[in-house]
Amino acid sequence: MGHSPSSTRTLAAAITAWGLCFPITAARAQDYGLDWVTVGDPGNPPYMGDSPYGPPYAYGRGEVDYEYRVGRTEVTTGQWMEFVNTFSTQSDDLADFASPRHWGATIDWSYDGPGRRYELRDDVESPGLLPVGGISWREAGMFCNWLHNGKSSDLTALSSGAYDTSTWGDDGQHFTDDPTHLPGAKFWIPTLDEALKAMNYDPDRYGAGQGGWWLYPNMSDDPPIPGLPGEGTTTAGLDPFKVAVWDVPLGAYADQVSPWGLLDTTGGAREWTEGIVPPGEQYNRAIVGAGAGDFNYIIDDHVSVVQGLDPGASTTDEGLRIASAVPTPGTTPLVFGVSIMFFRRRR
Amino acid sequence: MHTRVMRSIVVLCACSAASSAMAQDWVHVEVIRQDGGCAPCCSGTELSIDLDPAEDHTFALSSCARRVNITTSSSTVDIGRFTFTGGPGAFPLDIVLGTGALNQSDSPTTAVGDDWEGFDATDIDDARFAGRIGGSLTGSILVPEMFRFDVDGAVQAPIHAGYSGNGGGFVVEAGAITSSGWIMVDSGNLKRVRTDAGGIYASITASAGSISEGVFASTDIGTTTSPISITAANFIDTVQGDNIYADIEVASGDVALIDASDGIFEGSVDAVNISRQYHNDYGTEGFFVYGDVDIQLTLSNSIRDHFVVTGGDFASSSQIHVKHLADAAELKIKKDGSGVGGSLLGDMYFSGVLGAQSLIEIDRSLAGTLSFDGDGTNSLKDDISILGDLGAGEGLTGQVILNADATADEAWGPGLVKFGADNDPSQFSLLPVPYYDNKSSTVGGGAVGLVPYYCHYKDCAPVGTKVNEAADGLDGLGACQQGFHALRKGSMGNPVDGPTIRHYGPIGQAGTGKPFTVKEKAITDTTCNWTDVTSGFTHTLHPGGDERAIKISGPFMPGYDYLIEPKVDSGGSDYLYCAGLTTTTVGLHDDDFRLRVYVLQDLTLSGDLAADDIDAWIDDPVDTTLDGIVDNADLVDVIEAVADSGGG
Repeated sequence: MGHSPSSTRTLAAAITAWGLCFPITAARAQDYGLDWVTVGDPGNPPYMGDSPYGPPYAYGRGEVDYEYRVGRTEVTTGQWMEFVNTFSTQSDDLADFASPRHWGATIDWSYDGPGRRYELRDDVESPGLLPVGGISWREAGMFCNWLHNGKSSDLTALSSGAYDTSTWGDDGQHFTDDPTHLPGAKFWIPTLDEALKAMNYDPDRYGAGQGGWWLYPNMSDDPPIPGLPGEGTTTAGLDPFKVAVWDVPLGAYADQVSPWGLLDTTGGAREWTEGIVPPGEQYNRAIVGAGAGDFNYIIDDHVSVVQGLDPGASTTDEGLRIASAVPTPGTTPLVFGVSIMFFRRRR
Repeated sequence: MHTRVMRSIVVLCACSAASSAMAQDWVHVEVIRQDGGCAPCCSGTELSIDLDPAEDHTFALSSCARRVNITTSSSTVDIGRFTFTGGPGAFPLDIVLGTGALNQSDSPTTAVGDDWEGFDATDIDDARFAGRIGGSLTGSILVPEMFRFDVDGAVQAPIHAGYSGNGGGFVVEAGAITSSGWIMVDSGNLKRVRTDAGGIYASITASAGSISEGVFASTDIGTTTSPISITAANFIDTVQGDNIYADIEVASGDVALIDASDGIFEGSVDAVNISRQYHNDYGTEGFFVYGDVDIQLTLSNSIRDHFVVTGGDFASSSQIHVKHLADAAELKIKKDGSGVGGSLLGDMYFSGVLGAQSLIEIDRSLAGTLSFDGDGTNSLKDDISILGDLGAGEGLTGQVILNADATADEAWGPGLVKFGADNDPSQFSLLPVPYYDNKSSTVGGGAVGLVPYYCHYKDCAPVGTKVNEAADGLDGLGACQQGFHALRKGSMGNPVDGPTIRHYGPIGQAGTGKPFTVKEKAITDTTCNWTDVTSGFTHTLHPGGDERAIKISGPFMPGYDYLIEPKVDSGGSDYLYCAGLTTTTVGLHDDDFRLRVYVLQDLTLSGDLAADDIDAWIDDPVDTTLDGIVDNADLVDVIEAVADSGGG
């Protein structure tokens, strides 16, 4: 027995009014269980220290005049595998979609197709928490679009929301991608300033309320110490010939945190940002941090060092940490109300 | 008949036996499938084939191909060239010389076969390779990912990998590497290239990473006519060979150790530091050559520990452009036990300082140019030692320039320029700084100049009586002050030779006019009334090739004082400037040269001829006629001069 059309419309109106009284922030609705840290102290001073290892791409950077969130850890194998499987299973042409070089997943041989499906490895501990290395900036951008669009399996979910993929290309020398994320993006690749601040700026560096910059991302002015958990403070600098550096789970160095509580700011993957290097020339997207097995870690983990790579390229150790807006309080899931209306209309 | 048949049978059997022996040489290639547990990749062998020795072959692999094992019937079997196409996309294809799994360690495996024509696996999305051959590599290896490859013979063809194994495990160990055997990795680190019998004669490149252990040759690296390139993006640990003929470049990082362990270095080095300080700081680091060095060295930062040349010279064609010789570092050009080498013949330019507790030590001669910009306060924070035999013409024969970027008010620094060993009682230093009074001829003929260069009064001709213009504590000899820096004597009415004015550093002239003025005043004139007589004087820049000197020529008359003032205003049209600087043109230090020309017979040096000059001769006879004899002719000469002057 159904409701009368008039009562349905009344109910819908009430729900709509309810939603207007209690507006929603999308991030709260779509956190996906991600573990966030909030980076505050808006208007902090930028990094004005030395750049002893190369071009001063970080000099004068790192000032952010708003609060924002970043993932406590890099994107994990589990999270990336969900993304990859959403599309790699749609067709044989997409079988290689966004497959990284290093991660904790392997091919699921029980899957008959189309395309390819991945499953967590059974030869390591915590495969779902292993870092993901070897993804391009554009693959990271599509990941953000996918999150923005509710993890939809529709291919259009990859094309906009955080980044407009129709701008992605190159003119022979420079990449043509929009330099920043779209207004209203719910998730994005951290800007260079956001990444530097989250990793190295400490609002209490010199005492309560006296902010300043650490030279290395684990609240130290000394380089991290290569070694497995319990022996050192990072997988960066370990010899990949001797140690399975990519099989150390994210979060394993629980006491190595940035001033805001970020984990894995050294080792794991080195992290994409929206930054552009050299400044003013769209040659490369900026990358910060030293990845697992990075022989050059003393340099690459220094706050002043910003590396670069073409946004369409990946090598072996590029990864991602997500940024997002800080949700405002007092929200109500509109989704619930919309579902009720839709259900009613279908009847 | 029976014997003939038996003989035929024996021959037939012998031929058969021979045929069997030839057919037993083979190259076996086995392709193993990925064990996915079920279709389509359900494990097992995809391909198992025997090839003839040296037979080329193309393998079109399925998407389930997981591993290729290559073996041979014996160690004398050559392997042809293989091309791999198709293959998997979801997992790597391992290409293995030998049996079993891919060797991902830094240990050699058992050698397979003899010479190999190599392979091309560039069509495979991700192919990995490791192994060892018993002979030489005669064809290229083109592979996405490379682990350890041992070549018991010589690498005679390129090895090019897209990635190093696991990001850092690309190793090549060979007997030798010929000029055709260049090695390159596009991404990741090249860990090590080593030869154990011959040299390395082709380029080594880590395009986007480091050469994390180094390049080690059993004999030479490169040749004088064909130097090689050793290039990395981030870091090169070690380059070691007997003689090194190479251009070594690190795009944005350091090189830790260059060691020409039994000979010379020819080539270039371009990096940030010579240092291992940012990469597990242990072991020897520096530049060590046991022979002559002919180098273009460019470091955007410092020599951190050692730059030592033993038994050779720093060649005259060599140049160093470096920021600092870091604190506690050393730069030495040493003789060997036979007394060979020990001279700095080329030029070294430091855009920073000689660091504290560091040392520059030259065993024989500093003949080139050693230049320091300084740090805005000092140039020398520690000593330069020159140990050559000054009596044999060794020592400081070239030039040291301090404050070469002409920073205002920058000092020499606490460091000294010493001659002789520390335990030698005859050791001395150039003192006082910066107006040291050691004549250049006593230290080898060279000089140390703090910019702006001062006049080296003691080195002028005639010799200056003062160390500096203001040696009396006054701010120079003012125009109205009596005094002089040097004096000459001449016969009344006859001009004397003009002065050669030398400086502590090389000088140059801007413009084509006269970069000086000359003013004249009678010695007895105590007023300020100098007369400009510049128009009657000329100059010679760098007389006799002396780059620190200017000679003034003209009617320098006995009985007069001459005030020679250099033009040093770089805003003017004609001026003298400090040559040999790194960044800018700056005028000399504004040092006047006051020459007093006495009359020979003015024995009291009063500036005038009077009876007391006759008394002075009687008290102390001198040769005033310049005939080499002191006799009454000289007395007559004095008397006549006094009489002629009206001073009797």
